Formats: sequence, C-alpha cells, structure tokens
Amino acid sequence: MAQQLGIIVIVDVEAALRAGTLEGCTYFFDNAGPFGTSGMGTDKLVSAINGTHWQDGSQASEHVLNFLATGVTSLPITLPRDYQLHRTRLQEIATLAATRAVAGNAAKSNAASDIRTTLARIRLPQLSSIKLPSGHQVEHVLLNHFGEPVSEGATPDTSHVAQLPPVITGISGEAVEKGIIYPAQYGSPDLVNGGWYWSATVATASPKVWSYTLHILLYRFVQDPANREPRWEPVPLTCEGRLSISSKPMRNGFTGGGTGFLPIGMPH
Amino acid sequence: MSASLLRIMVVVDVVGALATDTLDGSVWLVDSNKTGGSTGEGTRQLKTAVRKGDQLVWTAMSLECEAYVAIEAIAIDPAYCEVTRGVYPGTDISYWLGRIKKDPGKSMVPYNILFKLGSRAGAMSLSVPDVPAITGGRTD
Repeated sequence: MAQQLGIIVIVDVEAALRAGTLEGCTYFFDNAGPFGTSGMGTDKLVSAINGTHWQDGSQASEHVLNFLATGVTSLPITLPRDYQLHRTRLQEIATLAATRAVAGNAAKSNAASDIRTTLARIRLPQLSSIKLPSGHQVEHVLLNHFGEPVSEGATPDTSHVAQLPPVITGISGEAVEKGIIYPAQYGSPDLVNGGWYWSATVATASPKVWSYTLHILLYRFVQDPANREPRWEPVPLTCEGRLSISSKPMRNGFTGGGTGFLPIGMPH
Repeated sequence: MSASLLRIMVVVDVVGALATDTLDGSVWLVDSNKTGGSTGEGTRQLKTAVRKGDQLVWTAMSLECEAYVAIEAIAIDPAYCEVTRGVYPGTDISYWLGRIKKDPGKSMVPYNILFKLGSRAGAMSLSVPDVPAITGGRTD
C-alpha cells in the first residue's frame, strides 16, 4: 500500500497580503517527522521521503502526498465547509419562529407594539461577495471568529471577521517538470476545501532534494464605504516546498519494519 | 490603540504524541500577530504580544485529519488572562477564549495547554519550561 504523507500549509493571510508575498508568512508541517523531515513550522520544510525499497529489499510502493492549506485567522478546518450556510439557516429558523409567535398573538390589544418589537429584533447576516479568479461572484455570509454571523449593516472590524481560507490552485516547479511528482486535484466526500484537495504521487526512484511550487489563492477583505456589501478580492501567490527523496528503506510507521502484517495485540 | 482579537492555532502531531506518550516534539503554535510583535512563531515557545483588553482565541488542529485533538484546558495566571471554553454553535468543536485583564509589560506570562488526544483516557500537557507565553508590547 502506498505511504500517505500529509503536508499542511498554514498561512498568515493578513501578513502575506501586507507583504505581497508568502515568504515568511507560511508555516509548513507534515507527518513524516520521525522519518527525518526538517523545517517543521517554518517556510523551509523539507519532507523526508524514504524511497525505493523496504528493509527486506523488496520493491517499495509509491508515496502519495496530500496537501491542505488553511489560514491562521480562518475558522477551524474541522468545521463543515458549509458552516456559514448552516449558521444562516439557524438564524432564519429563529426569525421565522419569532414572526409566527407574533402572528399567533395578533388579536391582543398590544399586538402592534409586539410586532414592532419583534421586527426590530430581526437580524439578517451581512453578506459579502467573493470574486473568483474567473470573474464570477459568489455570495458569502460573514462569520466572526466564534462562528456567529456578522449582523447586516455593521461595519465590522476586519480583525473580527473570520478570513476566507487560502485555496491551493495548482502545483508546479522542478519536481513536476522532472516527473518526480504527479499532482492532481481530487474530489473528496470530505467538504474541506469544497470537497476538493490536491494530491501527488511521488516517483521515489530519484534520490535528491526536489522543490515544488504551491499556487495559493488568498482573499483580501475589502470594505468600500460607497458599496454596502463588502467583498473578497482574489490574490494569487506562490510558495515553495521541498522533498528529500532518499534511498533509505521505507519503514512501516506502526512497526518500524517493512511491509507486511501489522502486529496483533493479545486479546484482553 | 484599540483592543484586537488575536488567533492562536495549536498544531499537534497526535499520532506522534500518542506513540511516544509525550507532547515533546509534537506541538507547534502560530498566531495572527507576527506583525504586531509576537515571536517564536511555528514553535512551542510562541510568545504572543498583547495589550489589555485584547481577546485571544485558541484552536487546535491535528496533523492528520483522521486524528482527534481538543484543548481540555489552558492554565494561565488569571490576573493577566481570564480563559473560558466556547463551542462553535451547532457543533462539538471547541475554542478557548482569553481576555487580557492586565498588560504584562515586559514580563513573560507562561501558560500550559492540556490536550485530549484520540481515545487516550487522560489529558496530556506540555512539559515545562518549554511552554508558550504572553507578553506585552503589541505594536499593531
């Protein structure tokens, strides 16, 4: 079975947008630390890929890299990707329930006052528009860092709005051009990143340090006083990672040995 | 200067920590305040620069999406920072909110984090003295 390696890129989006570069504004991680990865938590990650054979000399299977990007100020990736829609729906249900309760009391002497009070309490979420690189616009409900919708009409402090997560849009560079990694975008039942993620198969027969380039799309939050609806402007940037393919034997992370069966624990 | 909301992301190699029964070498912290004076980004000794009135929001993230991690508690001097646990509405995903009550000035106020990892019965905490801290002097 292929060895799976996860590569996570955390982006300080605000710092990157200010600097106009991802350099010094990304933190790379992978789960191959025990195998010799270096540069964890920096923008100089070198992922260890122990290559071509198992300890018994048999041919090793390919490595697979799975890439995930997120922002320091984005909502946690463990939340459903459609979380903003879910929160909006809950707010709509509460509004409808309150309205229905007032309607049920319309015969009361102070009904007009009740209706005015209820209507005044209705809070609609603040919409924003995401400008996609294609030029299309997508509506997006603004959430704060606690998952609550930002109220319509408010001019939110930018630091209180959860940032749209960075999106990986492509992988290129030396390792791709030389046929060392074969990246592709795949669909996933997991709605992280809208159900799409980038993965790459590694040809492990070429021991060397290889570089690759991640194409990452950031979004800048823009509040225009003349335009009531805030918008997110796309900002494409790139950053670089490295793979250190070695001829060291591939190891099973559970057993420390080669391929084969996993150890079976004694029954309790 | 107005109060800010700062995010702190705690990255955990859950499998590594469970395999070695220690968080040493398996925890990294990143905050959103690098341009405001925080140091130690991407390490366990993150020093977040704050001011009185700031809010800190801690969330945890596992290196493997299949592995479970949650912050069980944050132990910090309450004279400087008051912490409470919150949950994203409609989910069981938690965050920890800290309110800065007193500017630490040039002092370092260390804190520890207790984690719930996978199905391990007991919580795990960082071994001192390699722990994160808050300090004063936020400039941004």
